[in-house]
Amino acid sequence: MIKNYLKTTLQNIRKHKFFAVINILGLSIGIASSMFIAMYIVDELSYDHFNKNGDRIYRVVLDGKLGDQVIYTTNTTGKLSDALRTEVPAVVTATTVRGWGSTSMLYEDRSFIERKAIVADSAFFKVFTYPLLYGDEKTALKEPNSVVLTEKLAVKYFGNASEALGKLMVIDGDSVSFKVTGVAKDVPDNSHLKFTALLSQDSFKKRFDNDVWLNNNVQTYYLLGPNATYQQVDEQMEGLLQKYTSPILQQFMGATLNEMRAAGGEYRYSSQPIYDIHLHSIYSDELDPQGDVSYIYILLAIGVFILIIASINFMNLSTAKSANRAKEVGLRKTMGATRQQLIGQFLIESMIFSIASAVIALLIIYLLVPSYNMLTDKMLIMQSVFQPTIVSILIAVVFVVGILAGSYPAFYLTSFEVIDVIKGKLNAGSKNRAVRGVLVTFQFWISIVLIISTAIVYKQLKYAQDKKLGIDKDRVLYVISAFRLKNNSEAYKNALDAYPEVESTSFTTTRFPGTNNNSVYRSKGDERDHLLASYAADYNNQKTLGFKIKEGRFFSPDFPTDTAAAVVNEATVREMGWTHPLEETIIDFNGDAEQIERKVIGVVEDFNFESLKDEIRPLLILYATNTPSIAIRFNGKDYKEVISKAEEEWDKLVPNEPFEYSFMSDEFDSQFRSEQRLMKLFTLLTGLAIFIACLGLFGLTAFTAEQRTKEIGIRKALGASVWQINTLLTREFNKLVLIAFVLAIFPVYYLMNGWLNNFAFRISMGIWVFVMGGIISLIISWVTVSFQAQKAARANPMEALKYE
Amino acid sequence: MIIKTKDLTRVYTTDEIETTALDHISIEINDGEFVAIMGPSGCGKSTLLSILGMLDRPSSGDYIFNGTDVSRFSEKQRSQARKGSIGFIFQSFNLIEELSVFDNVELPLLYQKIGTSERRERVEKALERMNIMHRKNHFPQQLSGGQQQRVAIARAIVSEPSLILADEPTGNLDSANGEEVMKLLSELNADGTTIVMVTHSPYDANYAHRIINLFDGQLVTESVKKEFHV
Ligand SMILES: Nc1ncnc2c1ncn2[C@@H]1O[C@H](COP(=O)(O)OP(=O)(O)OP(=O)(O)O)[C@@H](O)[C@H]1O
Ligand SMILES: [Mg+2]
Repeated sequence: MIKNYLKTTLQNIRKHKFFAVINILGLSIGIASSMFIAMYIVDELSYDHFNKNGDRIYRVVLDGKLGDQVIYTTNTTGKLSDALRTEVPAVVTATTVRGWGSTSMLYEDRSFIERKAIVADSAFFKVFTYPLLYGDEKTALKEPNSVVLTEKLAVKYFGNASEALGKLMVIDGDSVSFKVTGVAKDVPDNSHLKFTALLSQDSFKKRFDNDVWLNNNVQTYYLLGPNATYQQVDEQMEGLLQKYTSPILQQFMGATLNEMRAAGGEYRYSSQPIYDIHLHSIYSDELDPQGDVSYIYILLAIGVFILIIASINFMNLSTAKSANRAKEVGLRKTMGATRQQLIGQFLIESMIFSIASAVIALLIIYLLVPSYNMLTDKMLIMQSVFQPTIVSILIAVVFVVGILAGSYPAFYLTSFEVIDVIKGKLNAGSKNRAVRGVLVTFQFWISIVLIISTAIVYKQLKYAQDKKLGIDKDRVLYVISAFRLKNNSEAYKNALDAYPEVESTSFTTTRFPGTNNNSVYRSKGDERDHLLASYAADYNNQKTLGFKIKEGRFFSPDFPTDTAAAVVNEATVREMGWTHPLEETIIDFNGDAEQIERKVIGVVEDFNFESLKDEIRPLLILYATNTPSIAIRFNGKDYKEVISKAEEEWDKLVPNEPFEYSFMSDEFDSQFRSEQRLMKLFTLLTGLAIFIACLGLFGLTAFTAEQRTKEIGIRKALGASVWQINTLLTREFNKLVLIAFVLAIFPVYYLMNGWLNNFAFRISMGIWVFVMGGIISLIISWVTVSFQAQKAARANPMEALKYE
Repeated sequence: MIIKTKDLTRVYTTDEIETTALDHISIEINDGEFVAIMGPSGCGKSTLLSILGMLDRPSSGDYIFNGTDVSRFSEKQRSQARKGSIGFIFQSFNLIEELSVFDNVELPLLYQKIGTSERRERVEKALERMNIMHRKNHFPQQLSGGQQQRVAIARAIVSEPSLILADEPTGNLDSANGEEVMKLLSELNADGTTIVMVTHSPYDANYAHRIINLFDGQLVTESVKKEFHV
């Protein structure tokens, strides 16, 4: 029997090639896109699962509240991992990880800047699974001045990973060399923690011995005991805070932890499963940017939508062709086929279509894997399609699409009464036509929702990137890790200032966006604590970055006391509640050292020094020179010239140190890299959804035109022009698109408003995006329909009219 | 002279088979004439009619309609030239099923952008003339074959064309209804409308002034049945 069904299916495909091609093309593109989406999602969900004990690895995070400021950060104290190891029985072991930023590395004549170096203690490999190709996990990070490289890095410096072990490298121009004690396999892409070099913590023992309990600037991870719960650890961390942090709090701020909490404050460590880090983290100060689970949901929805659109094509085209099939159904019925058997036959038929499309989809995936990787920054290989999860998803998709697409035609086509079919008394199918109308409307509803949403996302991202920051982010070059100039830094700066292209240069501790320092300060005469972001820079900083002074002045060499003064932004003035800021003084607790009183000498207009997703926070600017970075404001367009001059001067002074730079505008724009990537993905998927919907419309018009050839012929003979015939056919579909448009407005508005509220600086949607979306979809559908309609309208009407 | 063709040829090409449906046809038809085209099935009668009606274009040769060479006209120009000057009547009536009798007859006037009141007047006049006014709100399926053909004729004459092309107008009718249709056509002709009619029936052909015989796409004979004076 199956063979018989197969034969009729093949016969039908052969007879209606055009419709079969449209169906299979739509379905295979739909399946291919949904498989790409599935692979993307599976990859996102797989983050950190390569860790053998991943379900028992936790990261400690800090929830704090100081006055009105709420802090959620991944930063913890460097003291914590030791305490967890020795004082918390539920913890097997804990490790401290510190981002090390850009690090220069030198081996013989090979010298590069590595951006992904981290510092870790010897427990690192006990917590995480990053297997070593060479070296011993137990000892690799034990000794001072040890470094573990990834395979890629080892090859870069030593030509061959097996040669690396035991070699000595100069790191950050240090006088002591680092010994390569291990070569790790390259860090998998789906690791939230990415590194190319691991420096042993004890290499910097002196520096880290200064760690205090109140200072949070490292990441702490621990491995939970097999029978313990993280709630137990959370409880015991509370004990640690009471024991160690509370006394320090009292010493510096005059309140114990409990007193601080009683006053509405908060300061608490808690555990975050590492599986949650990539998609579910709300904490700031990640070492690498992480994903966002809401985008996963959006992608999932788009994937499902695309499959629905493709399935609807199948339903519409098969029912539209029903008259041809009705005769076959009637005949089979007279020969004793039951309705169930016939339904089964049609479902098998749609399943055959679905399977054939899946095969073509695999081919499409094979061809598009490189473009997909480029688009998503992922490293997918064709083999990963054949991993069990993806294969099961593919099978499920094929099955669901087969059933979904086949069910309506099956029930519809088998509902005919034999006697009507034989007598040729098939009702023109007005109900069936209405259902098709609803389905086409739904397809266009989806397409319009996608078009308008994509446009709004695009508008917001563009707005955020072009937004006036309050500083001039263009034409600022940062020289990175300038401390490597040692005593030559002044000379270097002066050499740069001598160039006519250079307008001004400034030493600064921070490269915007972001500051790496957040501390508690007070206004003199006020007992309340305030958290201020801060950075330090020299006299030229304001001129170089281009922010504006609102009151008072910036640091100046004319006032020797300025080196201990303070400049604040408007947000600080609001936070402190000052009315005459220039008469105020800031108390700087200055870590363990003597506290400093800093007179406020100026207020700058608020400018965006962090992510545009955040409000502008209170900022404190201090004076410093010979800092790790140099900002260079240049004029003209020739940034290459400026780079080569900056490098030339650098090489004159420290020829062994690699020169490294970045542009402020790039660093601001890179905040949106993941959004831009998603934007590209959404645009592509929207395009595909529309394309598939148009394929369906294309087929349906061909069918309508065929069905109405006689009418078209008559109208033409009576004087209708091609244009009028075209209108006759397009009108019907335009109406549907208009309905879809109207129905799309509210949900899009609601959804996008929610999304835009994530941004501190957001656009208003405006009606034009909607109008545009409507017009675009009308044009697209009109062109698609016209393409077919023209053909019908140009045919010789006599052909249609001469035979009955 | 309303129609003049010279070496009119129409070749159909399908699947690399060439069919010469019309082979160097040169004819002339005067204003007010009633001409019958006859010949065996497949000899090219309908093809000739569709070219005369500007629904199709000749492969080669010239077609002068009312003094204008229309054989190289574009789709749009042909549609323009046809409108209001040519009416069609088909064997299978070809009424639009979704439209009422009135709406069917009104259709050609809609394409000529004629005002509502004038349209109504002219449609009713045509329906009355065809004696089918009482059925104006019915749909084609509700009418007999003879009635449907009368509606079709009403539709053909409503725009007051100077030329009516009829392709076997009686082919689907019984002899009584067929006779009535022929009488109506004769009346229209008597009122000055030129009529070119394809027919298989020698009886119907008797109503014509002149018979053009085609065979295998070629003009065989022309015989004058009745006196016709310009
Ligand atoms: N679209 C077409 N493609 C190919 N050949 C065609 C086409 N239309 C007509 N023909 C061929 O052209 C020839 C003339 O056809 P036409 O319809 O003009 O004949 P006819 O004289 O009207 O016949 P009948 O009396 O049966 O209506 C026939 O051989 C026919 O097969
Ligand atoms: Mg014919």
